[in-house]
Amino acid sequence: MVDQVTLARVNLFAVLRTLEGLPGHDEETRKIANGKREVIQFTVGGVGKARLAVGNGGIEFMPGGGGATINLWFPNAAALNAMFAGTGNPIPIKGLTKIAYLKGPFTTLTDRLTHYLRAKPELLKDAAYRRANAELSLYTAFYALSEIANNDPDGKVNAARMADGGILISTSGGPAVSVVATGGKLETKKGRAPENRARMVFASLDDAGALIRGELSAYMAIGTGQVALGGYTPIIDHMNKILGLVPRYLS
Amino acid sequence: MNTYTYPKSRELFMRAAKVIPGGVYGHLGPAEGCFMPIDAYPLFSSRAEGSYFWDVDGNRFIDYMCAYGPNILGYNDPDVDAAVKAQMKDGNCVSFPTAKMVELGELMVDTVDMADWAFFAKNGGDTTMFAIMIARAATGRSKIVLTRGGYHGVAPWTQKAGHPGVTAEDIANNLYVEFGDYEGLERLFAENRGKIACYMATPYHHPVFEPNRLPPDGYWKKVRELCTREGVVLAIDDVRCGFRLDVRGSDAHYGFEADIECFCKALANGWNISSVCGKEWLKEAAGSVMYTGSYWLSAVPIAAAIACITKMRKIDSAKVCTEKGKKLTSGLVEAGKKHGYELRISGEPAMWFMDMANDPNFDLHQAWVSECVRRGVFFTNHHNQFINAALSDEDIAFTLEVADEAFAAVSKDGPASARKGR
Ligand SMILES: Cc1ncc(COP(=O)(O)O)c(C=O)c1O
Repeated sequence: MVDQVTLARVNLFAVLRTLEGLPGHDEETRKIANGKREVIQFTVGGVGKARLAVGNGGIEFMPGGGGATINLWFPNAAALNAMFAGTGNPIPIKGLTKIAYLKGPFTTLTDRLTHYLRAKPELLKDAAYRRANAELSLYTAFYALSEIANNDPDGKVNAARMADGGILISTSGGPAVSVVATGGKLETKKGRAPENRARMVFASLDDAGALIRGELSAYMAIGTGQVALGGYTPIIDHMNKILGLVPRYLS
Repeated sequence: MNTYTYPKSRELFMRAAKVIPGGVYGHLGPAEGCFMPIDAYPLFSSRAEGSYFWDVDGNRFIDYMCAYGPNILGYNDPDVDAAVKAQMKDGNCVSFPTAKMVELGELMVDTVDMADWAFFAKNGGDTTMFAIMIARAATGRSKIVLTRGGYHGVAPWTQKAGHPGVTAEDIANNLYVEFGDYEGLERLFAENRGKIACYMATPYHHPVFEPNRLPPDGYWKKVRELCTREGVVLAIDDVRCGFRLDVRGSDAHYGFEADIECFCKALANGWNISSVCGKEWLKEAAGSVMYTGSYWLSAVPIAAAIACITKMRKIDSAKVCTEKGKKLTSGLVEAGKKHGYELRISGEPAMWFMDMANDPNFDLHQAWVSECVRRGVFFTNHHNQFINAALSDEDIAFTLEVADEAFAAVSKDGPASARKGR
């Protein structure tokens, strides 16, 4: 079952956040990121706030509210989810003149992100695309994992079983994230966290991409060594149960 | 000492993964089996004999997992296998049971102290489910009490909320208590008076990942009295410990009497049969529950069980395994000490659990176990190990030599986490 508040948090704090990494892979995004700075604030009733700063050479995601040049308001989780599903529009409450920005550059950004996250077989033949897809999907999936752990009913029971400490998810020579549990709540951090007690190491970024796209079975990958597990195994076991819920929210 | 490599295992795994979910699923597979790091482990066996198995690459291992318990007398025990061969000539799965079923029933009742009757099935999980159904049929109550971290199989009610394929309804009648916490159990019984059908627990606490715990002094005696007072069926899941601690049942070993006792693993030295034994007052209820399966009364495994029980009694296999376990584990501890490691042994010597002090993330332990495996001693990382009666003094000596070398390798290279620089 998909919980709407969890889905909204996944959309806001995982999918939108992944835009941060997009300039590193995409020329069109870089052009927009090199343009004039805009700070878009998302306010979602019953869910929370987040801001996305685009411009001055980069994209920055900031959880929580603050100063903004464009304010988007969604009465509830379902309204935000409708926008992400392409079936609804936000209600701008400040900077009505900025609608052009939303319809133009911002829509381009989300379209470019969709292009990289929704992989098509022919696109995957290109090494640069494959790399972008794998890296961006890795971040999205593990950011989503923490939101699911903290909000989805099944996610919460599994997260409650996790001892304090972190799990390093890394790819040989590629990106790494850490999922850190504290008192049964999870937080995903970029890179290596000092709290890490266990590790899940992908033999290559390609393997990570294949696993997240569902082309490679996790259990098989453990047997072939494409994923190596080690350290304090019980927290990995519990995390994997939550990882199994991620496709419910990202498909 | 040479260290092993496993090219044929890898090749076979790739074939398996194409047609079998996960390649090798469950506890015999690399994920549940915690094969870490994977390259230290074989994935397929080709044959077995006594205390050994050989993998598909021809490497020999002393097998301290004993197929996770069934191997009690040694693989291919000649007496059990002779009984199997003789029975195969006469038939196996037929429209009627044979006299052997009655013979095995009589033998179980004669062997297991608490048993007034015996019932046969295939797996351990069949027996724990049946125990719960009998308790519900006999008491007319729904709830069951289980211990946190206890393992009773894979049926939905034995699993956890939020796990794949398990619904909230599947576990709605479960209550949980810590093993050994008598006051907690008493409180739970009081809060749910008249609603609890059964308290199910293993004779001692043998979870994965954490030191195993023997029952505290007086625990079972008090629990026995409490269950009788509250009309709750006391069901002992002896699937893993059964016959390894005491051929009379592990309740007898710890000085109490269960109402229902579940047996499986060591019952027939690897032949597929399990058994539920019970007290007279539950016999009617047991007969009333519709419970059966295609192969449950097949004669070959029954013949194997008769031969196995007979031999376990004759050689006192529980005592043999316990003594060998003590000898081996004290040697392992010494080997660790020599290299500055504190290997901790817990649980019962015939099926001991081990981990290391000052190793909160298991890195040292996983590194040491993998170095043992590479040298032909099959331990597993976070599950209890098992002794079988065919284990020889030479096997123990060889194991200690390997353990020593493995500790030396760990000292030299450091734990996996440090070595891989990840
Ligand atoms: C204590 C205990 N109960 C039940 C079971 C389930 O037995 P099976 O796997 O034969 O169904 C096991 C198996 O490991 C066990 O150890």
